[in-house]
Amino acid sequence: METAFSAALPPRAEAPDEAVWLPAARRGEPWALERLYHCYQPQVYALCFRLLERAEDAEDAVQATFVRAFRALPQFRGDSTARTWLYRIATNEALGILRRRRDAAPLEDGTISLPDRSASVVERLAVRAALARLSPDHRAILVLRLWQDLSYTEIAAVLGISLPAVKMRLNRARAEFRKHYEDDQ
Amino acid sequence: MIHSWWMRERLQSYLDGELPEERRAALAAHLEQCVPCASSLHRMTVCDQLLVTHRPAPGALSPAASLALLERAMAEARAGRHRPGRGPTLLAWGFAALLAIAASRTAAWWTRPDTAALRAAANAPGGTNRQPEGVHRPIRTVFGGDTLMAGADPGASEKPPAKPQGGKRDPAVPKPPSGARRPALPPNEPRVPRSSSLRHRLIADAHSSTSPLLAAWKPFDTGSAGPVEMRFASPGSDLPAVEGSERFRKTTNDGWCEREAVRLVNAALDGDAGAVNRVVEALAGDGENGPDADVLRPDRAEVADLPGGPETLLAEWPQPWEGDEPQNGGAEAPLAEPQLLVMVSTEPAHSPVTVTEAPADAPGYSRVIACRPDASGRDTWLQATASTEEKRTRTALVLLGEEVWEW
Repeated sequence: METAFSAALPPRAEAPDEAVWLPAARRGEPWALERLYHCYQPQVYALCFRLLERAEDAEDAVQATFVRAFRALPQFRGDSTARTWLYRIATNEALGILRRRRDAAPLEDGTISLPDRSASVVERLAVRAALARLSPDHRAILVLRLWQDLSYTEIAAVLGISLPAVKMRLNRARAEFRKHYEDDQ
Repeated sequence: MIHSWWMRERLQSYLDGELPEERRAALAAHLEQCVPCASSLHRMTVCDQLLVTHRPAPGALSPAASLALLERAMAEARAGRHRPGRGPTLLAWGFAALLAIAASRTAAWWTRPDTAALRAAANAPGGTNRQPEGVHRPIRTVFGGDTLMAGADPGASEKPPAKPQGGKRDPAVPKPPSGARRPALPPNEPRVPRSSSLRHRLIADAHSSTSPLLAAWKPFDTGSAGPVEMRFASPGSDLPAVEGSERFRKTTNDGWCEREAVRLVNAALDGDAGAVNRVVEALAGDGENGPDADVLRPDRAEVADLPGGPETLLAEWPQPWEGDEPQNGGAEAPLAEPQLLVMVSTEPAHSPVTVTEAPADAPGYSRVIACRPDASGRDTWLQATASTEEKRTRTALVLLGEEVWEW
């Protein structure tokens, strides 16, 4: 179903002839693993980058994601799509990094000084600051919904929670983000 | 300001395009007249636009970086598969866990009260014929249709199994049939996995005004009632606390449910997709027309045919305002009066169960107490609470007499 914003988003990349190479990837054949990587690495990297906002952390998360995926592929039953499955692994990896980062360093207040503080830049910084104050779970669900444009069902599969829990968590995340954003204004 | 969490979730689903078409149309009509809801939706929209506008667009990894990352991932994955010593370590941990489980089960088995011996002593000349303090007779909760154990006399219709001698089960005591507690399913009926959220939704959203199944079951004769009963009462009714052997029978003003309703709801709570489907159909029916007479027909439309599956439907139960004109000049319509759903055994409760009334100022409040078999087949009292108090929603499942926990 098309949302108010999804019309402006680029179409989702589909993995061509996945039915051919996915069974081979499950058997651990290198060419198929490589195909899996090339099909989904850009999407996984974008997700990790949006969750972590640092290129180095995102690369680490992508590598860890594919290591886990390559190891677990023989057990992948195909209950969900490969994309959802990879998103789930990537989200868990990114959440782990986010939590460690949150434990290790105090929250940034978002007051970064930039030479060009146009209205747009200021607004972007405020959005980033408000997002940075969210808990990792709330940040993840907002990213999955609004930046990755996943449906509720897909989010439920990625986060491993029920559909009602998705709605509740998303509701709280939105409210929390709004509160932080308005506090900064 | 909208205070009800379900209305905010409904608006959110509307904004995200996740509402079914008919509900979307109903909500759109509602929004035209309801200023608080429209305002709330506008704030959500602005917030979402803000986030979408500033969505980061990371550049793609360079081909060299991408290749290096792939090689590292494949090398690490290959190394992990053949890492020496990992398999035995996992095996050792698994073995240790099995040993611990076996030890705890054995301890629990040997320390349980010898109810047969106590009963014999009580019935002997000079015996008290009463159950001593601290000895918990198992509560016989039965959720099977045909196998429902009739007879309200506690202890008369079934003797508890004797304590095993020498660690073996007494062959004279027949083993209860495995299907005795749950209804048999048609061979190809789909099942949905057990889910705490499913249980929560079924319980917490039981409002009689939108639940003809729950509100309009015929009362059954309490004289022939099985050991499980279900009742519904409004928070204004005089609900008793249950202590010791006191039963729930004395105060109710909304009537008893049919045995089949008990079976059906419990099967639904256990994740039986067909039962979920039938309960949902009944709940989603038009309350003014009364209960759907065909709701119990066994081969009703299967849950697989329903868009989104049972979870979706459970999450989208109709709310009281739906289909009605908005009340109070467009202000938020009040919720239905909260209902209390109670499933009790006619056996004495083995631990005190307190039922508190829902506060009048918390309209989304409901509670449930249920007596259900646990995973090992033994009976367990369960109490679930769902409440919305201003901004927070809290749900708790309390296992009475054992331990208390929440989720």
